[in-house]
Amino acid sequence: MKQIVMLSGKGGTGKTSITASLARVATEPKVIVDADVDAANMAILLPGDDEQWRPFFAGTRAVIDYEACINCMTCVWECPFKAIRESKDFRPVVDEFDCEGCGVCSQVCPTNAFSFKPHQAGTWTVRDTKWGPLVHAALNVGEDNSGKLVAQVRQEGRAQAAKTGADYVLIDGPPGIGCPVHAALGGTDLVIAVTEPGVSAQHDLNRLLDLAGWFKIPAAIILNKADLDPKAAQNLLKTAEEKGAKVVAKIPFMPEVPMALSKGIPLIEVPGMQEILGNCWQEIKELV
Amino acid sequence: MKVAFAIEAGDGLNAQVCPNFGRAPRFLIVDSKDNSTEVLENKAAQEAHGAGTGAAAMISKHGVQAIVAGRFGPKAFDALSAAEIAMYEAPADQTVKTVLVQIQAGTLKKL
Amino acid sequence: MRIAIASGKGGTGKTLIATSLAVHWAKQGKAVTYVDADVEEPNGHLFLRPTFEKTTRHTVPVPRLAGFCDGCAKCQDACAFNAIIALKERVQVFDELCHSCGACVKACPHNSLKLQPRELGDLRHGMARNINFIDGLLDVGEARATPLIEGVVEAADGELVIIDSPPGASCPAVTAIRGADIAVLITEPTLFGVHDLDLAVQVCQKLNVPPIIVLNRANLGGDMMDAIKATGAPLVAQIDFDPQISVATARGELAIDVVPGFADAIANIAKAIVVSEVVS
Repeated sequence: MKQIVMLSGKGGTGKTSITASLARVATEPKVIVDADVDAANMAILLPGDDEQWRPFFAGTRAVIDYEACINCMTCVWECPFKAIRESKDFRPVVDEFDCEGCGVCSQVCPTNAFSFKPHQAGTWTVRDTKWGPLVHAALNVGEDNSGKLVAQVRQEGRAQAAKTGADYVLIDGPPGIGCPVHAALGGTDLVIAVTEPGVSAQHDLNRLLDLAGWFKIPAAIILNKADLDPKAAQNLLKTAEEKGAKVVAKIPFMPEVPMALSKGIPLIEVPGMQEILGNCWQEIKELV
Repeated sequence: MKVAFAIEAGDGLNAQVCPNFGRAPRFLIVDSKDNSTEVLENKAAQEAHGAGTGAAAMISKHGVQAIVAGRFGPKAFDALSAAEIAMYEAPADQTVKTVLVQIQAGTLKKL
Repeated sequence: MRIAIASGKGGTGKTLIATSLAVHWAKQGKAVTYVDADVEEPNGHLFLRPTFEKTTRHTVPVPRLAGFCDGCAKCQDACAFNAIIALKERVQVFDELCHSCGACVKACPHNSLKLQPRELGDLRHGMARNINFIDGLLDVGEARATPLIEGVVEAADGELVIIDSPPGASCPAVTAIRGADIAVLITEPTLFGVHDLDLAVQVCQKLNVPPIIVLNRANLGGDMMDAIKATGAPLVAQIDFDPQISVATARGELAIDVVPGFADAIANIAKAIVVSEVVS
C-alpha cells in the first residue's frame, strides 16, 4: 500500500480539484484522505454518504471554579496569551478562543481554582464514495494545531486501506509549509507538488521542494495552467529538474475548468481532462 | 534488557509493529530475560502536540533500553537519542516475535 | 485604520488586491504601510519590489537550562505541549513545539530554567513606491508561523495599514486578522470559494472585526449571490476575470500599472473600505 500526498505551497493552484479527479480516474482500490482540514473541500467534490460525525478533541481549556476564586486577578496578569480578562462584574473570565491550555494560571492561582477540560477542536468522519472511502474532517474556525487532526485522518485512512485492501492512499494536503504540512508529509511514499506558472508559485515551489527534501521524501510535479506563461513554465520545469522532481502532468489553462468547478461538475468531465489525468496517474504509479 | 515495541493490532508477541512511533496506540515492553510482557497505553498519541517527544519521555521512564517502530519522526529521534534508547526500524507487517529474534541474532541493525 | 485582506480559500487574489490598494492610496499621498503576514509563502515583495532597508531575525522565547538539574521532571509534567522532556540530569527542549508560555520555568523547583530568544525567521522592513513595506520570511522547517505573524503585524504602524493575511480560517489567519478595524474578504464564485468564505466570516465574527466581501473573477463561475448573502457579510465590490490581469500577475507585474480599467476597480474597493469603516 502506497501513500501519496498532494501539496501546493501557494493556494489556488488546483490541488484539491486534481486530487479528486485522480481519485475518479484511478481504477485501483484506494482510500482518499482530506488532510486540508483548515478549509476542507474534498467532500464537495466526492459525493457519498457520511457515517456519523465523530468529535475530535485536542488540547484543553482552563475552567475557573468561582467558589474557590477570590478575584485576586493574578491569572489575568500572568496568562501568557492574555486569554483571561476581568469582566464587568470584577471576576476573571477565560476566553476559550484564546486560551491554549498551558496551565500557567493554575500554577499562579493561590486558591487552586483552576481545572482543565478537554476541548473539542473539530469533527471527522468516513464517507462511502464510489471511488473509495473518503476520510474527511472539519476543524472549527480559529483552531490551532490541525497537525493532530491531520494525523487522525491519516491514521483512519491507513485503517480503511487495511480494511478494504486498498493499494493507494491519496492524501489532499494543506497549503503552506508549516505544522499541518509536516503532519501530512511524514511517512508518505511520494509528494506531488501542484504548481502553476508565475513568480509566486515558482517561489513557493522552491520552498516546498526543500521541505520534501528535508523529510527525505521523493517529489514529483503537476504543472497546472501550463500555458498561461510559457517562459515562467520553463523556469518551473527547470527547477523541477534541478531538484530531482519528475513532471507527471502538464495541464493547459482552460476557462471551462473554473466554470465546471463552480457548478460542481467534476474536472474529468471537461473535454481532454480524462486523458491528461489518466496519463498522469500512470506516471504516478510508476514512481511509487 | 527491556525492548519496547510500538504496536497497532494483535496481542502479546504476535502483535504487529506499528508504522509510527509517536502516534502508536500502545507499546509492548518485552523483558528479554524471560520474555515477560507489559502493555503501556500511549497517552501521548492522544495529545495535540509532541506525540513523539511525549512517547519518548514515557518509555524512558520505564527503563527501556531499545525501541522498535516502523519509523521515527525527527523530534522523536532526537528525544530517544538524548535518552540513550537504541532505535530499530522494522516493517509494519512483522510481528514482535519475528523482530525480537532478528534483534537478538544481530540481523536487524539499530539506527 | 488597520485593514486585513483575507479569504478562506487560497489563491483568490488577496495579494493582488492588497498590493494594488497600497499603490492606490500611496498615489493619493496617504501614509500607507503594507504588511505581508503570509510568512510561510510571502509574495507581496514579488509585486511591490521593495528596497529592503532593515532585516532583523525575529525571535521567540524558549526555555534553556541555566542551573542545577536533578531530572525531577516537574518541567515535563507542567508542559502541556510535550516540548520539554527530562533526562537524567538535564532537559531536552523541542523548540518547535514550545508555545513560550513559561509554565516549565515556573515549575522548576531549582529555578534553573530561563526563557531565551530563539530565531525563527526574518522580519524585513523596506520601502516601495512610497509604501512602507514589512514582511516576514519563516525559516524552512519551522513548524509554527504564528509568532512571526504576530511580529510583522505588531511592527506595522501608520495612517493606513494593509495586512495581507494568510489563507484559511485557522490560527495563522486569526493572528493576522486580530486587532484589525475591518476585514476585506476576497472570494471567487466557486463552491470552494464560497464554502471557505463562510468560515472566514465566522473567524471575523469571533474576533469582532467587521467583514466586507469582494468577489474576484466574478464572471468566471456560477451564481453564488445567494450563498454570499447567506454569510451575513455585505458584498461591496466585484472584479471580472480579465486574462490581462492573470498574465500581468504571473509575470510579477502590478495589474494596476498595466491593465486598463483595473485601477478603477481598485479605486472602487478603496472607497468601499473607507465607507464601511465609517459606518461600522
